[in-house]
Amino acid sequence: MKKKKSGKISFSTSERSRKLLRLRLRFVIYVLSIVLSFLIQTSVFPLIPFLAATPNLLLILTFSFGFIHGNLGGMLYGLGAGLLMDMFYSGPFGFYSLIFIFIGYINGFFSHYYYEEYNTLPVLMCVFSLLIYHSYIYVFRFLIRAKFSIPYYFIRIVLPSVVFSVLVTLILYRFFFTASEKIDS
Amino acid sequence: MLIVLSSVKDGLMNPIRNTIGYVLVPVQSGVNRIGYAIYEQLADHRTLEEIRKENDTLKDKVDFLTEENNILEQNSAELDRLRSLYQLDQDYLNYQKVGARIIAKDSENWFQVFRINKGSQDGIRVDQNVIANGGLVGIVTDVGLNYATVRSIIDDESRVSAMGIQSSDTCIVAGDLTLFQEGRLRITDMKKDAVIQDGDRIVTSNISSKFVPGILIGYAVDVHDDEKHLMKNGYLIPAADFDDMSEVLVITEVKADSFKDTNDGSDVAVSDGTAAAPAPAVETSGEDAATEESETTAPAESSPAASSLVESLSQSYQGAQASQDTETQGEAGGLTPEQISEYERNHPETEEDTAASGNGTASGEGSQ
Repeated sequence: MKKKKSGKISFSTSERSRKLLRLRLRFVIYVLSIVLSFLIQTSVFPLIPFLAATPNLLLILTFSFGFIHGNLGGMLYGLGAGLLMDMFYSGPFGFYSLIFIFIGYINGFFSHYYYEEYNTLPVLMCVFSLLIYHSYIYVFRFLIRAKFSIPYYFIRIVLPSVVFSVLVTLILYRFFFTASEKIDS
Repeated sequence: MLIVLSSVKDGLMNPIRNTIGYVLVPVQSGVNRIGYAIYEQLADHRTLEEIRKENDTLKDKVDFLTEENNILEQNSAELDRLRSLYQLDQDYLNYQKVGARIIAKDSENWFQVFRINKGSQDGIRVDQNVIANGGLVGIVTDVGLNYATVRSIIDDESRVSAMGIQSSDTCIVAGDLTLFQEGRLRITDMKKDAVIQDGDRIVTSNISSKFVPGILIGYAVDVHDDEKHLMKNGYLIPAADFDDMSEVLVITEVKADSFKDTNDGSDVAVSDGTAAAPAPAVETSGEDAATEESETTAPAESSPAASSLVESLSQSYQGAQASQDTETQGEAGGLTPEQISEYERNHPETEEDTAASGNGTASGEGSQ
């Protein structure tokens, strides 16, 4: 509900010349991309037995979005993705929203350095965002229960996740980029 | 703000969660079913040889199981007799269960949480236990209208109160992220004199507040004393297979309800009466012990400088006579070294003992 309202306002302020119909279409496509990636992430990836870790699609989309559309866009997209994660998992409500919004916001700063052919920065941002995300989970869900085996967690959980996510980013970033170009035009 | 609000009041977000769940869960089930169908197709293409090999091992297993079954049949007859003898014929052996399919898992490896396609409209409630392949799998932590979230026992935050089936020694079975990839859990808080051994069956304990008793969790391995030699630790190999799990059974009984049922008015009154009866006896005996203790310790408190002497003396004079003597001396206002040396002269048979603690005496005199 929240996402819908604020999303409309932001798009109407940033791109006033657009027609309302186009805005709605774009909004629907973005929401669908969140829902679809969430479904793939939770229901399809766990079925694939040879995956040591599953790429965090929602996170990849969030930082890509922030990277392409700037701070506000990244935050809104992060809010949508984070809320969906919070709906799914029990625990304090807003735990995931917070980190997704933060990652969308941080990556928005780099939208100035964004070029079409330039692939290094997105990969670096992917690694950076995932490290933030994983250390957030570690600190607030494990460190506060006095779990200190950081090397193990890093090698077994963070590293596979980063590697898979970078691979997916390389493929998905191009796709996401062309998709958002098409939607814009 | 939402975090704080939802932490304080648990059910605040439930309407929103239910709405989202109502829309998404059917889609999740559908996606899951398609994925599962594709996966099954792929699995059919296993080579014939593999299946033949499996057949051989299974035949061996059948022989082994038939033999085991014979033994078990004999045992079950004995068990029935014993059970009626001890009136242990509780109903926990036939819990009501509901089958459910796993429709989504946590995508990260941090948490071992999954979602099932049954919710409050199917009678699922928070804190119900979940089992699969004859072993405990987890506990329901969160329920929506048509879905429920289950935290498995291999999750790092999971703690299950358990006991050994042979000895009824209680322990805690704890999930550990650093162990689950080896397929192990941790057993902690076991008493040092507990007789749980490697290979023992570990079941949910009857003193647990959330798990119904008697569900098999797994088998103890590698039981050893901890570093301080105060408790025992060990590892547990779970009975349920967490890698290849697609359907689970949810036990529709909640342990908390059993407390409500048994603790009605009459029961409480009876238990109060029985508890009150032996209590005074314990108290009086406790007082006796306390007075005895204060009598013997009184001399030691009389003079701090001579306390070391008194200690050595009370060791050497174990008799009632000696304790009376020291007591009178203590009341008189502290021990002096002269009195003690006089004491030693009067009681030559204890000289050897006091000589052993001669250092203490000498230092006491020096300080005086």
